[in-house]
Amino acid sequence: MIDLSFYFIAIPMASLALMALVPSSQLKLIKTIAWISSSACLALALFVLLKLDRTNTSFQFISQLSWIQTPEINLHLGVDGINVWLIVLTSLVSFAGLYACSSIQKDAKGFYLLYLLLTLGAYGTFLSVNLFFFFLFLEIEALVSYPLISNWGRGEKKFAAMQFTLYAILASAFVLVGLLGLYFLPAIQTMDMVQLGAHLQANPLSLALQHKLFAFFLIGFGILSAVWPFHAWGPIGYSSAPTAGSMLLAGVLKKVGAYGLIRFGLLMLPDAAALWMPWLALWIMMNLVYVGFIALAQKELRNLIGYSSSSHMGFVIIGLACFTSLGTAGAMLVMFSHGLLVALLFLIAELVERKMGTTQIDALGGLAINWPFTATCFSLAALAASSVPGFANFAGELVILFAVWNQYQWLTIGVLICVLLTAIYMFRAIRNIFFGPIKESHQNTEEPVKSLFCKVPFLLLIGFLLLIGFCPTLALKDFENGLTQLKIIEKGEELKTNSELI
Amino acid sequence: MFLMITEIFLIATLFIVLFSDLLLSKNKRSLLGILTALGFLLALVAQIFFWNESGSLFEGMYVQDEFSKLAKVLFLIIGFFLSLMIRTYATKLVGGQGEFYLLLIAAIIGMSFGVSSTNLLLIFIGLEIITFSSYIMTSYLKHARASIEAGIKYLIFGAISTAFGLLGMSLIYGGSASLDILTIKNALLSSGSDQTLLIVGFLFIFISLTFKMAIVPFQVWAPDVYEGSPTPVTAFFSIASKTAAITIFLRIFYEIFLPIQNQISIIFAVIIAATLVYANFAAIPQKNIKRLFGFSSMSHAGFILMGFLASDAIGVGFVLFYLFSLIATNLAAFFVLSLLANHSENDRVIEYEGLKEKSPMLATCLFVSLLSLTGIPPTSGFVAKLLVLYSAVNEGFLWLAVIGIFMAILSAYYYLSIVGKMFLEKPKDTSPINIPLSTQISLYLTVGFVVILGVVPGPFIHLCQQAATSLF
Amino acid sequence: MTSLIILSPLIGFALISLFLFRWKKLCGWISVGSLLIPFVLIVQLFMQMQSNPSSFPQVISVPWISIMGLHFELGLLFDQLSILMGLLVSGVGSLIFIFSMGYMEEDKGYSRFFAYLALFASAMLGIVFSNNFVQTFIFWELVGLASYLLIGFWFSKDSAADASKKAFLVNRVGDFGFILGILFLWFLSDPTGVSRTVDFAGLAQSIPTQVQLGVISSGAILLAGLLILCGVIGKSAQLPLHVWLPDAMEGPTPVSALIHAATMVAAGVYLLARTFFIFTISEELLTIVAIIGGLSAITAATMAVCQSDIKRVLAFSTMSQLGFMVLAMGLAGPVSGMYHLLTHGFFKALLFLGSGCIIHAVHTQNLFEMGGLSKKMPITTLTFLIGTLALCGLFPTSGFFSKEEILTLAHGHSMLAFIVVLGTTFLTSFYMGRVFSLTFLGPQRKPSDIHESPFILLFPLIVLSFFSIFAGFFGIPELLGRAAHESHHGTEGNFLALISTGVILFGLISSYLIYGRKTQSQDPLSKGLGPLYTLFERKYFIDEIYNFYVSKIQQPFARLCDITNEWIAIKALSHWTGIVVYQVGNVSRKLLTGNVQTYALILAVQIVVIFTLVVILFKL
Repeated sequence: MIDLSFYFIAIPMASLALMALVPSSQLKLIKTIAWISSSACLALALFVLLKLDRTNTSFQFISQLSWIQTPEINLHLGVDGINVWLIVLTSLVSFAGLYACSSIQKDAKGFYLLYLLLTLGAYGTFLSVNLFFFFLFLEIEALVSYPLISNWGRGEKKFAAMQFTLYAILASAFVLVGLLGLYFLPAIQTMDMVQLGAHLQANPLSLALQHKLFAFFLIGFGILSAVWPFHAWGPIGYSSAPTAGSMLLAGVLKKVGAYGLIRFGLLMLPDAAALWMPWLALWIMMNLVYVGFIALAQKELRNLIGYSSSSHMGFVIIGLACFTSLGTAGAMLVMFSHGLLVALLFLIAELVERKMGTTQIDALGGLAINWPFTATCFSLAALAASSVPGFANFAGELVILFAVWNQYQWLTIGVLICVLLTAIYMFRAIRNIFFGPIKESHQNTEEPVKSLFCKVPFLLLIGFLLLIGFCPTLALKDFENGLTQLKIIEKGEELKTNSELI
Repeated sequence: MFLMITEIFLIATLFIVLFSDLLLSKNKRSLLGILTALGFLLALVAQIFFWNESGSLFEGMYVQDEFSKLAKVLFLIIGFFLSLMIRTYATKLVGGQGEFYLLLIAAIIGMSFGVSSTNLLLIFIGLEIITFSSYIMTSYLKHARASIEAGIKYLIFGAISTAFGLLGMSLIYGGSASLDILTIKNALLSSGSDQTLLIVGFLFIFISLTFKMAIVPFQVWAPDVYEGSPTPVTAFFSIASKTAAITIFLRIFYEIFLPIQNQISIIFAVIIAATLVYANFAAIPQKNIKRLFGFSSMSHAGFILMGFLASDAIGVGFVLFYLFSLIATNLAAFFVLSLLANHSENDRVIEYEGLKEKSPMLATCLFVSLLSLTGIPPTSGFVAKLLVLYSAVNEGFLWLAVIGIFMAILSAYYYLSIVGKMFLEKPKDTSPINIPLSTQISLYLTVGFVVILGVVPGPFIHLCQQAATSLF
Repeated sequence: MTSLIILSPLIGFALISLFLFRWKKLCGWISVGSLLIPFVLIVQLFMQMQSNPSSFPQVISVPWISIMGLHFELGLLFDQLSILMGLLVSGVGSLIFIFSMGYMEEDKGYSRFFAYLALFASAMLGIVFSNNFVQTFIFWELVGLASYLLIGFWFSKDSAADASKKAFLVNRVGDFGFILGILFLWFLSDPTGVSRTVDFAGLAQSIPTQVQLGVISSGAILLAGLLILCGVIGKSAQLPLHVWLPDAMEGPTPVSALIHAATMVAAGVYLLARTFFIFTISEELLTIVAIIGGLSAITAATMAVCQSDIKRVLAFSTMSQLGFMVLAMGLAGPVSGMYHLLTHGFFKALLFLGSGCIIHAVHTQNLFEMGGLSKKMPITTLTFLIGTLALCGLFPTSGFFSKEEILTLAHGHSMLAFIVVLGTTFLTSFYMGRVFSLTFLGPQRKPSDIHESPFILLFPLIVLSFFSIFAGFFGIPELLGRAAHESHHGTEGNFLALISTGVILFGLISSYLIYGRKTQSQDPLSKGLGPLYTLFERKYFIDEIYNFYVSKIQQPFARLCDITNEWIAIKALSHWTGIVVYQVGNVSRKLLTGNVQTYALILAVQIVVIFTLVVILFKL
C-alpha cells in the first residue's frame, strides 16, 4: 500500500526522470523542475511533521511495495519519532542548497540530476524500514558523491572525490556486513526492522555475536559520522565539493552514520552496546579536543566549517554513548540543529567566495560594512555553533551535558573544551571576515543577498534553529516517543555504577 | 519430434547459410549475417511456441525439460545478438565471412545438445563441438599475429582441459559402470564404500569445465585470448562458452553429486575466493579494455560459482538469473566495444576518453553496462550479485561474502575509471561515430533488458526458479 | 502579567530588529518604553511587598524541557533580593536609555544600538528574576552576547572588534567553570538520581542537609562552590579574568555605564548573594572568595591610579568596588555586599554618564588633554563631584553607609582585611580626586567651544545624583531582609567612620595638590613611582601573559595537530592505500608474462593444491 512516506521517494524520482528527458540546453526548465521537486518535498515534510500523531510510538504513514519475493525484499518506508526531524532537516537543507546551485554553469543538467539523486538517497536512508533499502540508498549517496565532487568541485577535486567516495564505500561495506549478519543470524530471517526489532527485544542474540555485529556497525557508522581517525575525509571532500553538494553531504550524510548507530546499534544490539559505549565515550574525546584544535588551526573558511562539523559530531556520538534515552534524544537534537547550521555556514561561504573569489580568512576583512544581512546571518550561525542559548544547538548540548554527566561525570570536561574551542574559532572567524576596517580592494562589493527571494533560505534555516531553540520540547517529545523501545534504560542507570571507575 | 525443435531449426539454418555463402557474390556477404540472425530468431520462436513439450529421446540420453528449454532460449538469444555483432564487425574480417557464421551456429548446436543430454558421452560431444568451433574462431584474423597466438594458447589449454574431462568421465564410468546420469547417481548413493572413484572423476570433470568458465585453475589463458581474438569472439567467450559450461555443470552437479555437496562447497569457496582476489587485483593496472574484460569475466564466473553453494532450487534460480543479467550486460558492452574496435586498432582504454562527445548513445550504453558489471543499484548486475551473496551467506560462508563485497568495491575502481574517462575527459578527435541500425536496436534491447532486470527482477527470478526445479 | 518583565524588552528587541529598522526615533522610544514597563511592574511589586511582606517570595514558572530524567523550567522568583536588584537594573537602565537617546543622536547605527540595549535589558532581568541555575546560565550567556554586540558596536574599528571578541571569550572561559558547577550541584542534589533539581529553593533544602548527614563530602562542596565562583569571576571581572573590562571601554559610553558599571558586572555578585547557601557551608570557600575580592580590589585600585584614559580609570574603579562586594560576601556579609552593590550602581552610573557628557563635549578621553571644564559645564561638574564623593564614601553620601558596613565587617574579621579595605579606600579617593582635578579644575587646555550638554543628557545625571546622596537613608539593608537590631551603630562604628573619612580627605587633598593647580602634559606620578608606575600602568602585564599563551602555546599546538592530521588522516589513510592497492595489482600482472610455459606451471600448481584439499576433505 502507498502512503505519504512514498512520495518522498516518488517526487525526486519523477523529477529525475522528467529532467533526464529535458535537453541540457533549457537550463531554466531544469532549474524549475528542481525547484518544484524540492519545495514539494519541503511542504510534504512539514505536513508530515504536523500530522505525525504523537501518541503512537510505532511507524506511521507506512508504504510497502514488494520488490523480490524469495528473499522477501520489499520497499518499506515509514516515519516515526526518530526520523521525522531528520526528514525535515533533509528537506530544509536540500531546499536551501538549490540557492547555491545557481553558480553552476558547466553542464548544469548533470549537476541537478546528481543533486536530486543525492536528496533521493538521503530521504530513502532515513525513511526506509527495510534493511536492504537502507543500505541501497546509503550506497547511492556514497557513489553519487564521486562525480559531484570530481566534476564540479574546486581545488584538487580529483583526489578529494576519490578519497571521499572510497571512505564512504568502505563505511557502507562494513555496514553491509553488519546488516547481512542482522538478517541471517537471528532466528526469523526478515529484512523488516520492526519485526527484527521486536524479535531481538524478545530473544536477543548471544553476547559474542552481538559483539561482532556491533563492531562492524560501529566501524561502518563511525567512519560515516567522522569519528576520530576518520575525521579528515569529510572536510577534505566538503572543501572541494560544490557548495550545494557539501551542504547535503555535510548536513545529511554525516547524520546517517549517527542515525544508523541509533537504529542498529542501540535499539537492536543493546547488550553489546552497553559494553562498548564507555570505551566509545572515551574514544570520542579525541574527536572533541583533537579535531577542535585542528579546526582552530584552519586558515580557510570551508576547512574550518568542515573540521568544526567533524568535531561537533563528537557531541552526537557522546550523547549516544550515554546509552540512555536522555542522551540519545540530546544527540538527535544536536544532529538536527547541526545539520541546519552546517548548511547555513556553507551557504554563506558560497556567497563570500562568489563575491570575493576566495575563502581564505586572512584575505577577507570588514565585510560587515557593505554586507549587513550576510554578516548578521553568519554571526547568528557562529553563535548557534558556539552554543549560545536561544538556538537549538544549545538546547541539544545542554541535554547532552546533563546526560553525559549522569553517566561519566568528568568526561563532560572534554565536551566543554570543545564548546570553548568552537567559541574561539567561530568568533575569530566573525572578527577576521566581517569586522574590522574594510580592505580597499573590496570597497565597492555590494550585498550579495538583496532580494527577499534570495533571503528565504537564510530566514528558513535560522527560523528553525530559533524555533527549536526556544521550545525544544517540540523535538524532544518526538525523540522520546521514538526511543520507547530503548528498553535498556535502567541498564543505562546500572551502567553508571560500573563506569564509576572512569 | 518437437522435442529437438531448436536443434532442427539450427541445423537447417546451418545448411541454408552454407549454400547461400556459395551462391551470393562477394559484396552481398552481409546478407549472411541477417540470414543467421533470422535463423536464430525462428528457432527462438519455435522453442517458445513448443514450450510445454517435454520428454526424452534416444532411450533417455536426450531429455527436454524446463531447465534445458530455458538454457536453449538463452543460447538462441546469444546466437541472435552475436550474429548481429559479427555483421557490424565484418569490415575487419579479411577472409570469408560465411565461415564465421557457420562456426557460431555449430557452437550453439553443440551447446543445446550438451545442455539437454543426460549421458556423459553426449555431454562430452557437445562440449567438444563448442571447443572446436572456438579454436577456429579465435584465430580468424589470419593477418593479426595476436589472433594466431591467442588461437594457439586456447588450443593448448583446451586440449589439456578435454583430457581432464575424458579422464574424469572414464573414472566415473569405472566407478558406476554406466554413463547415464541417473544410474551414476544411484551408484553414488548405494556404493557407500568406494566413492573415491566417483568423487575424483567428478573433480576432473569440474576442473575441465573451469577452463570454459575461466575460473582458477584454468584461468590463466583468459586475458591473452580475450585480448588477441576478434571482439565478437571475445564476446562469445565471455558469454556463450561460459553459459554453456555453467548450465552443463549445473546439470551434472545437481543431478548426480548433490549428496556430497557440503564437502565440495568448501573447495568451491576456496576456488571462488582465489578467482575473485586474482581477477580483481590483476584488473586494476590493465590498459587494454579487452584484457580488462577478460579479468572481469573471470570475476563474474567466480560470483556465479558462489551460486553453486546453494542446495535448493531457489539458489540455482539465482545462478540462472545471474547468467541472464551477465549475458545482457556483456552483450551491451561488447556491442559498443566491437563498434569502437573498427575505429581504433589496439583497443587501449585511453581511446575511450571523451566518448560522450563522440557519441552520447554509445557512452550511455557502456555506462549502464559498466554500472551493471560493478553491481550498482539500478542495474541487474546489482540484483544478481545481491542474490548470489545472499545464497553464499545463507549457506554460512559469511567470510566469502565479505571477500566478495570487498572485491566488488575494488572492481568499482577499474570500471568507474573507464566511466570517468568517457565522461570527464576531452576527446582527441571529436568525429561523431555513426551507429548502424541493427546495433542501435540491439543496444536498446540489451540495455533495456539490463535496466528492467534491475528495477523489476521479481518475475524473472521466479521464472529461473521454476526452471531450476526440474534439476531436483 | 508579571512575565512581561522579561518579555517586554525581548519583544522590543524583536520589533526593532525585524521590522522598525528604518524609523530611528521610533526605535529609540520603543526600547525605552520596553524597559519602563518592567520598571513600573517592579515598583508595583515593591509596593505590594511593602504592604504584605508575608505573601513573598512568589514564583511563576513554565516548563521548558521535560524529558526522561530532566525537568527544566523558566520561572520568575520575586523576593526582596530580586525586586531590589530589579529596581536598580530597570531604574538605572531606563535612565541610561534616555541618556543614550541624546548621546547616540547622530550615530547612523542608532536603531541597531537600541535593539541591542533592549536585548541586554531582557537578559539582565532574566538573570535577576530567575529561580533556577539553568535559566540563570541561559540569560548569563545572553548577557555576555549582548555585551559582545554592544562593545563591538563600532565594529569597523579594529580595537572595538578585538575588544568584543576578547570580552565574549573571557566570559566564556568563566562560564566553562560555571556550567560544570551547575552540573556538579545537579548531580549532588540527589545521589539516588531520582529527583535531581537545579532549582535554587530545591537545592537550598537538599544540599545543606546532605552535607550535615555526610552524604556529600566537604571537598565536593568546596569544588562545586569554586566552579560557581569561576562564573562569578568571569562575569564580574575579578582578578584572573578581569582583562576584558578595560578593553570593554571601546563601546559607546552609555554601554559602559549600563553594562560595566551598574548591571552586568553586578550579576556575578548577585549570583553570589542568590546562592549564598552553598558558600556558607564551607569555611575555606568563604576565605577564598574573600581573598579574590580583596586582591581584585587592591590591584584594580593601583592600576586605576596610573591610567590616563578617563573611562579606563572608571573601569578599574568598578573592578575594585566589585572586589569590595566580593570581599564582603567572603566575610559572610551578603547583605552589606548587596547594599554596596545597589549604592555603587547609582554613583558609578552617574560617573560614567558624567564622563560621557565630558567626552561628548571635549571629544577626547585622555585626562591630560582636558582641564578647567567647571566653568563651562557647571551642572556636569556638580553632579560629577557628588558622584566622586559618593564613590570615595564621604559622610552624607550613600557610598559612606555601604562602605562603612564593609569596613566594620573587615575590622571584625581580621587586621589584614581591614588594612586592605582602608588602603583601597585611600587609593580610590586619590584617583577619583586626580580625575576630578584633571578634568574640571586647573587651566582650560582645550580651547574648543565647550558648552553644557543638552537637558536630555543632564536629566539622568541629576536624578542619579539625587539617589547617590539619599540612597543611604532609605534603609536598604532592612529592605534586604536584615533584622533592624543587627546593624550596629555603636561607638566602635563611629570611631571607624572617623578613620575612613580622614583617609578619604587625605587622598582627595593630596591628589588636588598634585594635579589640581598647574597643567601637566605628563603624569608627575610616573617620575615619583618609576618602575612601579609602568607596572601599574601596564596592568601588571597580565594582558601580555594571556597574549603569550594564545600566540605561543595554543596556536602552535593547533598547528601541530593540523600537521599530524595532515600526515595521518590525509596522507596515510587515503593516499597510500591507493598506492598499495595499485602495487598489488602490478604484482599479479607480472605473473601473466604471456609465455605458455609459465601458464602451464601456474595451472599445474593450482591443480595440485586443489587435489591436496580434496584428499584432506574427503579423507580418501
